[in-house]
Amino acid sequence: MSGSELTLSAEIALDDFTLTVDEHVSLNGVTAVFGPSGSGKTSLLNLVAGFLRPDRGEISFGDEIWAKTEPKAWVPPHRRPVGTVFQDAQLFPHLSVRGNLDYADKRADKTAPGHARTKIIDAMALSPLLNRTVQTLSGGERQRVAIARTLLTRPRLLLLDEPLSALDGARKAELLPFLETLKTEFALPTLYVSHDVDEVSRIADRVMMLEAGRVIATGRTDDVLSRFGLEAGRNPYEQAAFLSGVIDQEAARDGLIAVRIGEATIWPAANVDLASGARVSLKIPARDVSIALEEPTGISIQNMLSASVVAIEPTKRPAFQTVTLSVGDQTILATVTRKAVTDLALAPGRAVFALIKSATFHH
Amino acid sequence: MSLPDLTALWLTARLAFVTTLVLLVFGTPLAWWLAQTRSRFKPAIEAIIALPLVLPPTVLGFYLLIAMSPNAPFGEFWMAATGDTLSFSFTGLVIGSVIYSFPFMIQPLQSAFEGPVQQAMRTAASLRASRLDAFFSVALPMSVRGFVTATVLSFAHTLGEFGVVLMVGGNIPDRTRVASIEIYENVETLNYGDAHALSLILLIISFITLFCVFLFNKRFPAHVRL
Repeated sequence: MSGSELTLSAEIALDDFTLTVDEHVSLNGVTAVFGPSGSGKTSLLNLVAGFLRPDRGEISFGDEIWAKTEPKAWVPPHRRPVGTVFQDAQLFPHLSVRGNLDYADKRADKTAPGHARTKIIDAMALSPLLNRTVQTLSGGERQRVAIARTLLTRPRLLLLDEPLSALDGARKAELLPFLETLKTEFALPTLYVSHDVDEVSRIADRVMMLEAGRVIATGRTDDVLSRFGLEAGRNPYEQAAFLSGVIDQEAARDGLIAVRIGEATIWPAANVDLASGARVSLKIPARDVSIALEEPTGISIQNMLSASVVAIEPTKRPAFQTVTLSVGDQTILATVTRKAVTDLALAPGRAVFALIKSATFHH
Repeated sequence: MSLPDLTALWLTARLAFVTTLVLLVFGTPLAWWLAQTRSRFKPAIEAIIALPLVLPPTVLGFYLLIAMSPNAPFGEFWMAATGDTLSFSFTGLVIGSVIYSFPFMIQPLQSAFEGPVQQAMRTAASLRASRLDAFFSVALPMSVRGFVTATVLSFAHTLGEFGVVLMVGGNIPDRTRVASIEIYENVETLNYGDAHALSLILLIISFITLFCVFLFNKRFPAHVRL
């Protein structure tokens, strides 16, 4: 069945470990390469794109051998029909949006099957942006240009390297529909690198789970995620907590919905059509929670809850700590720097204010 | 102003121009190599390139003078090939100046080529551009500031050189007597008027040159750090 498979049978020594894969990935739909930061996901993508050479083994696309050590074979990155969308878009700063698209268009292999330029521009809603300089684009707009630019090269395989990870909650929500359009309208075989369960469960058909350079599971998305007890909204690599509250339509304003949490109110920027009194669950990512000792004034963050520190724990990253806060009879988590914990003299029992930058409805 | 002054100034300009041109041709590929290599020799090569920043010009000039003498292998080869000595010649001056100004060309170019430009080369490859295509269509335009800085610094540094030139070239009118040496000569012979005139001209040229660079760096969109 090599005609419709991507063969990844390779080994490469990285800084911390050796990445070893022996997989045949179906060239049909979206395969998520899923795992924590530093598990080798991006290196795996670089092997496929040709930015890394395997120490041993073979990378093949159907019958085409792209990299092989015995006997030696090598196709340089620019000759591989692969389109890579990088984490931070990587638009060329010296070219306009149109210039970036032209760059790819000019170099595309016009004999390969592809989509019309106008269709690609429409699908990514780029018409109004064409004459802009790339410096004036938002993070989400950059990624849309990057995706369109890649599509213009007429790739036969798409590599998406955490395309949402540089975006905040609201921008992520903006870009996700475009990724779904990409999947349905262009139907290219795709490797999608991510460490986010929500994204993976929304976009991927299959999951290849990596840990410390090894594939620990592959299979249908639902199967793999449930086997590891992962479900959307419960992200093992991103800490979050859930607050339950009650919808208050009276207090809703400026397009925001009001959710009463005890005495306090949170305004999530989300579209739900619920009557007053409905009980809802809000997901609060730990990295979107800041801590203040006094109630701040003159600040753009609208969601403020008085809370008290319950516990302070280390995270995987030495510079950061997770602070557990009690809010009424519920708890939320805040990821703050170790320095902030020291400077604010945070300790269990201390009364503080939790500033919440984003809250999303969790079903 | 008397005529000999202009001769020295003209010679200086020619020297700085040729030196900068040679540095651009040889410096660009070397800076490119340094920006992307993982060779373990990189630190040693960077140290050698930076040497002229700290060595007294007389030390550099002394070694060059010895290497260029017709008794040394290199000087002998040059003599056999061209029929002229390398020391006390314009070509000798160019070689000395190129070595002396090397870090001023390499370092701004190298830092312009690092980081974002290397990542952009990968991006270009993912868009089907060959290495050569990507170098001209992405790396060069993204490094404009680095090129301007490197070119102007090399040019201005060569204008101001004294020690190496004196050691290698001596003080031969219209051949190796550059402006800085002419000024020294004027002071030695108590001809303060000409020394003043020439010093002022060099000061103004140097200021205008550097001013233009800083103005350009301010106006030009900062794609790369310098």
